[in-house]
Amino acid sequence: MNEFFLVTREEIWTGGPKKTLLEERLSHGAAREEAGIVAASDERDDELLALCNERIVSARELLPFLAGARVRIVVAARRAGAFTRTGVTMVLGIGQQAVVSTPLTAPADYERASRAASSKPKGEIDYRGIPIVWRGGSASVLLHEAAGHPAECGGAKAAKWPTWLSVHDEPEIEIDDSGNRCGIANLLAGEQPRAWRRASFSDLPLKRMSNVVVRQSNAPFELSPKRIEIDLVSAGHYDVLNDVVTIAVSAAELVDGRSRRTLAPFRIIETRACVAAALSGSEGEAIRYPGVVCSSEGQELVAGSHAPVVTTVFHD
Amino acid sequence: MTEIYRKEGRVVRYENGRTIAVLEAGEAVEDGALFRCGPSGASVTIPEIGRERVSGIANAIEQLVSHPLKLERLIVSEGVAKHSYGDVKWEERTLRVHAAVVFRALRVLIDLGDDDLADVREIASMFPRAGAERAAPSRLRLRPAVAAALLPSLVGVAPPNVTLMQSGGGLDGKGAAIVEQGIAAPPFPNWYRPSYRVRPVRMPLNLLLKSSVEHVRDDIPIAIALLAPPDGLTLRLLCADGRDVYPATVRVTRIESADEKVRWYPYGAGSFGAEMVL
Repeated sequence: MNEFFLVTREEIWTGGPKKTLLEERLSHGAAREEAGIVAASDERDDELLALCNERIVSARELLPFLAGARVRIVVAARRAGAFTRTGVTMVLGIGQQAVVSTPLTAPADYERASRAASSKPKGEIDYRGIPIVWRGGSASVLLHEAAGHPAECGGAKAAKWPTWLSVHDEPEIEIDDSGNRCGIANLLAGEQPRAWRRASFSDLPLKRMSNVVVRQSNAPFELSPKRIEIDLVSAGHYDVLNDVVTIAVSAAELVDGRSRRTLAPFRIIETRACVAAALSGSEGEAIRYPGVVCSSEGQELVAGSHAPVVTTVFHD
Repeated sequence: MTEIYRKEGRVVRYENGRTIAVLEAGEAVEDGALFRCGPSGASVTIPEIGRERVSGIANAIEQLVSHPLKLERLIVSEGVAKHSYGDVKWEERTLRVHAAVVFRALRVLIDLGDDDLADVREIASMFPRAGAERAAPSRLRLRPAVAAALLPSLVGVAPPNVTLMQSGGGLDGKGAAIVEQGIAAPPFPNWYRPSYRVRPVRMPLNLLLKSSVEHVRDDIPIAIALLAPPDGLTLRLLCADGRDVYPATVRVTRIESADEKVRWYPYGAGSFGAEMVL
């Protein structure tokens, strides 16, 4: 019999010295699979609950330093077979910006989101024909959608990716939510992620991305004097039926020589073939992007995201 | 004032070929601005729900949707829940069907709140004839499922020749009677609470459109299904005109008539769809 136990504690706060708790949720349960039928109930695992209680206390200690942010802390402790693990996610919302962080990275991500939230947009733009520089690991979201989701679905049309590009799902966990050993999947080659994941004890496990890593090897790289620089992305979507990728850019600047102006949020909507053809260059090592809350089949899961600086040019 | 809501429930869910049975009991506490929820620790007293009904519905849909159509997603669930809020206790049984059916680059979305599969049969027979995109016809009849999906978007903007109502009957998320009344703008009289894990919100429940003209002409093109969730008053629809079937995008600007025969669909906080002419 395959057994899975999960405890999650979620709290929503307004951060700052006068931190205020707005919402608090506890969830616990177990799922047992036998002969293809899953039976789930809200039974409690005290060891996992104790782990959650311990981890959420330390996450709360950051709240006084996150003034002006709406902070959602989610601590999850899970056991599949004999393997137990915990994870802490902090979603920081500041104005119109939101980033998915961890206690370790929250201070830097808070600064990044605050900076973006304080910039006043001074214009809209048609992104086509202008080189785009995806900074701070943000290209990982583009490739999460353009390479990751098609691989999850299986059977997507092949795209002509640049030879310098690689995109893998590299789970940082050893054992997945079904008790199986995890492995690396080559998403550009259409390999399905190897990790079975579930958002709650009452969800069926699905093969989902857990940590997308984009790399480049000997890629060309040229910085155009006029370019769009993307810093934060608020949402992404892949429509398997039409093979279309949508990226909602929430923080970007138009750079023209020495001048910089903040752009209003905009959407990039392109077929996957156009995304592949638009990838024009890359530079450096993979940089951690604040994670992605990925929603598929009604299950919201956090996926890690890493990418080097990447350039694209989408043509009309 | 501290408000406490408790719920215990059982659900059997068929999800793309796999089945899961869930039982749980939880409570939600609203204390001023603070909302807390979690398992209540109470024993679930609801008897087990058999898998036969959801499996039967799923199998029937899988047989109806055959080549050249593809069943992209199929979720069928049946649940029983016991609720309590203060001294008020009530019970409900629900059935939900969600399906996504694909033909070429088109996707039909189906949502049902009962086991009548007439809508699925019609879609399965007509969808394989779908041709190229056409302009929206000047007058269009909507099947009840399509009209039901539109109603939540009409709140506050319903044309003056029709009345958007909340249907009376049953209890809301705070155990209060759901009252029948016209729904024009907030504040709405009742609370919607789809789960103990979310804060209840004031919303119009079980919407119904009343028109002084109930005669629905049947000699004009008909929209049989949604091709995308409604985007405000813009609907992406699968339409049929005689034997011709085609996708079209319709902007709702007027409603000519609505039939009085209605069927409930799980859109928004519930919506009664009727045949309607735009």
